[in-house]
Amino acid sequence: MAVNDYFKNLVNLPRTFVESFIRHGKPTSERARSQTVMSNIFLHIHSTRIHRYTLKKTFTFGLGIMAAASFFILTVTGILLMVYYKPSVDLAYDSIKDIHYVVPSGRFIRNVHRWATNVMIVSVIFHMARVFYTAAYKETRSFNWLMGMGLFVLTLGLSFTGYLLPWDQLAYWAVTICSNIAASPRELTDLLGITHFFDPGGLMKVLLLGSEEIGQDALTRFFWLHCIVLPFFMVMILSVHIWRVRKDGGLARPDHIKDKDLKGIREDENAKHVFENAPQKTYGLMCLVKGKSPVVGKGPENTIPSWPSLFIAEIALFMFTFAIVCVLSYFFDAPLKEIANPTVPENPAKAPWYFLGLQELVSYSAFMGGVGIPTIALLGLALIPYLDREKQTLGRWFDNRTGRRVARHSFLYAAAVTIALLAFTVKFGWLRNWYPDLSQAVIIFINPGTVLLTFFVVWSFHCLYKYDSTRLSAIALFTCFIVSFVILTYFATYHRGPNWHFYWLKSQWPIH
Amino acid sequence: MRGFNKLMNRFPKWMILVSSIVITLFLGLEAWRENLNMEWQKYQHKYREELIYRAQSEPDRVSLRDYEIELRQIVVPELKSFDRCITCHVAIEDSRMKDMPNPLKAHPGDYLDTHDMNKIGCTSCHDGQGRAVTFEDAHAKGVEKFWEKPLLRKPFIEATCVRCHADALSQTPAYNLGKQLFQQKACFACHSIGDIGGVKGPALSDIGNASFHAKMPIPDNRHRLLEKFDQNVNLAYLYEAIAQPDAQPQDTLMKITPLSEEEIIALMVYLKSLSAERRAMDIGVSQAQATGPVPAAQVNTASAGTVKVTGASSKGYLVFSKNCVACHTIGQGDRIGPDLKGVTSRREYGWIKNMIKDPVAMIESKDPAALELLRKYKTPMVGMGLTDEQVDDVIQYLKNPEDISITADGANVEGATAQMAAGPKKATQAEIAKGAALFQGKQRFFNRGPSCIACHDVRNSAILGGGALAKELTDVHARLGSMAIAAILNNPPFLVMKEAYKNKPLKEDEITTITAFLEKTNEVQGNQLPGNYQSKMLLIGSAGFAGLLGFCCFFWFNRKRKSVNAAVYSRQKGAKKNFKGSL
Repeated sequence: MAVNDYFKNLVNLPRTFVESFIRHGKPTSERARSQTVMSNIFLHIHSTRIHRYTLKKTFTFGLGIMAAASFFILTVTGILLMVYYKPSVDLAYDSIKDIHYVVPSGRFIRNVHRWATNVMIVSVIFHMARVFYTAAYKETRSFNWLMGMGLFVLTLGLSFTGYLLPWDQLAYWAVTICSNIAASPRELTDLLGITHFFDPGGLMKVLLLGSEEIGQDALTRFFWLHCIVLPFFMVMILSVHIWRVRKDGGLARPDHIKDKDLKGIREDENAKHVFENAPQKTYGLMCLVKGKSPVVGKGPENTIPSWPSLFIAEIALFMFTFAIVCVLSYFFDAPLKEIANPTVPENPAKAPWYFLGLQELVSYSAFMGGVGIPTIALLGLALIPYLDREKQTLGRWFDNRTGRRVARHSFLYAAAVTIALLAFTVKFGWLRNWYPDLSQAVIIFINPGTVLLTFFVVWSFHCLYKYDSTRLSAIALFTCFIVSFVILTYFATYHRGPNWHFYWLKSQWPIH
Repeated sequence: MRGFNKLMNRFPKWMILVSSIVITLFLGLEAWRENLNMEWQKYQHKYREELIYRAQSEPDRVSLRDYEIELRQIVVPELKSFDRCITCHVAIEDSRMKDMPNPLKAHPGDYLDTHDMNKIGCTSCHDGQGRAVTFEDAHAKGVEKFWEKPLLRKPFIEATCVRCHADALSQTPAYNLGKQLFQQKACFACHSIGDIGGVKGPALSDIGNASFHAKMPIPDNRHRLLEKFDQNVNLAYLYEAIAQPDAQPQDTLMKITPLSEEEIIALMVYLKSLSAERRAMDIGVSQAQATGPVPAAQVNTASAGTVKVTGASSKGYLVFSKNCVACHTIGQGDRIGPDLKGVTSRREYGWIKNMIKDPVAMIESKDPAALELLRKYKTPMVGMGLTDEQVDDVIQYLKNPEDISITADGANVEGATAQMAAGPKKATQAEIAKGAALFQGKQRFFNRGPSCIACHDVRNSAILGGGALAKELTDVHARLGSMAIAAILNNPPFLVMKEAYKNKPLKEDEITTITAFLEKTNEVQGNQLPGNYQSKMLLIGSAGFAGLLGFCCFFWFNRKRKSVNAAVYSRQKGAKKNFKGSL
């Protein structure tokens, strides 16, 4: 009787309803956990079993998860901030003040948003360095390295577009600097006298700002980019990025792992029994993957179920990230200066800190610093996996002793060259100071930025010849770039004052 | 070692535990700090207790227990004020609380009887940061933070009265003295306020709002002055600028004027009163109470249309308003040159005549009076090429500037439009467009004079790449006003410009359109139209499309051209062909 069935269903409703969510029973057995991981779209981005090496703390330092965790925190706080934020030049600043003063916990949420940004940028940069130094971009992973580059650019883009939204002096002038960097190809087109017909710099600036000056159009655009466009691409590429890790066979790891390396990482007691109890389900070969064929008649060596080991580690990293951000947010407020005023320029007007290294280069030559060198650097980074195709052991920091030595030497070399060049430039000036009538063309191609670049390229070729290895040459170049990025950023943050002059301390800045 | 290994195994769990404790702790602390432990809540609790304590009857007491502890604010959209001051100063209107300590004190004096708090708010008089709800932030104290308008105290609070009260009030002695001193000490000679005053020093129209960053006393004075003015950076800077003008910048032309402390304070009050709000509110007030006397600066632009000038000095007036007004005023203080009020009694007729006719010759011949003027005003006077008759007319006018009557309805006088005297009427779009065309040189001047853009630049999205030979003109209209711009265009007082337009004078309508264009440029400078890409966009689009196609080709060139089994078949066939052994 349908009626009876109906009432029976009604009685069973709570149970069946819950069962439709927990489809594989309580996750008490390993089997149920594995099935849950496989049948849940969010967990399925992980494989059900991972290699123990993946959990080695000194291998990854959890940097990628930290970056993803900060992105998650940023999304949540960003959505909360959008409730009160008004993207209009007349209202934006006041709405930030209101968020700060009267919105319940508004100040804290804004602080969390700000600090999570910085945590994200730092962890993204370190994550990239980790992947590079452990050679985890090789073979099938080169595509994922490209995705990572995309995420790197998107991270900077998101952070930069968010910078303008408070509409205070800091924001306004930082974005002015950056929009001028966007317009820097004009230096070259002016020189060639073709700016009138062909003005890519001006076009980039106008596309970015929607106008020649920063105004309502720019604010609308930045809001749109910051809240819709860039997060959309971020989520898409981030999903691909994490999914590809799984498809490439988990995190990169060496072929032969010594027991020493796995000390302190949980072992799976059941692993040896995996294939002894005949599985109820038979597995067919669903796709062809590159790599070695599965070992027959032997349990998957040194693997453990993702649930719980990996998930606990991920949750721990998420909590750790959030804890850092909470502590920072409690003690340090996000900056907010007076309302944006186009008639009173900040002096010095500085870009956000992660662009300050570029701004230092821009102060030598707008075109080279703003477009030339960043393009070369980004292109170089993106092409690393295609130019360095040496077969080698993956998943070890600096590969081996030679790699460590090259990295160490490159570190010292890059630090020495960068500091010496900065000191020289500060002390003696550059070509323009010696030959005031010099053509700008010479300055564009011979300035501290390009000299630095030349030094690095020469060094990397030197390593290429000396060690006869593209990988070691790449390590040399990458180390040089990272070191000079850090030094230039530090230098521009702390030692550049009004009119971009050199000062040892901020207290020495003149007033006017 | 075993213990250590165990710990490492549990490392993630420990991490979760410690992080969770830290997170919970700090979220709790933050929730408490920001939502339960605000100082204003304490004040309101105290106020409620005070009310209950003072209540007369039991029912009152009971009902007072419901007195809500909440954020309170006064919003006055017309004045753009959001004042949450009454969140702490909760008893401000409660006259029973006269003797309570701050912030529960009632407003002293009887100001609130005449000033409805709910209509004008708090910050329109007191400044401070109305949106904030903590003591330090609301009073905007301190140097390190970036608050724009620190709370004003006596006597500086007088500066805000003029935001609404255009006339001198007896309650504002310091302001009145300051205003008087500003005129007496000839500050106008170098500094301008609105349309009036010289251009040698910085314009002071908005000095009351001087930004925190740009305007800060030098380190030597900083500590002392901030102490003196209750951490108010604006006031500290104003004091330094008046008492010690060469502190910054050190090469200033400004002389140290001997002033008593009281006079300095009075001048500060006056300067503090000069702000954009004041002008905004001037307009609001003159709409509301149109009977008040209009300030002199606004007379120029008050009436519209053409006017008729009659009276004995009318001819001279017309010449003056075309040629001299860019630099000189009569009774409104110095501009680039001296105020000419009573000049005919100060100087001899012949000297004035020579000075107007050929000032350069006067200076070359080392005339002591002319040299002294040059020393004083720094900008040399320029001969305007007037005829003898015109010079006589001007002198006649200078002798007797009152002897004209201007009626705002008649036709032109002696063929000359007196429009300039009346100020521009609201320019039409077409006029502005023509002005823009003339400015850029898209349209030639009738008398073939060089276009403005050759030397000047303006910030306007319609115009690209002006010259940098002469001044940037974006806000020239704010600085000089229509009348002075028209006068300069009509007969340039600057040597280079005068030379450039020699024998090529601008026509009347060219002057008015350019003036209209400059006025518009000034108005829209913050609010520019987005760029128009038009054909460029098509070009770029096509280029992008081509690039995309190229990109596709690049990735597709290696695609499978035949069916999937083609390879298998060909391999098979090849195998058969190459098969050497026996079957």
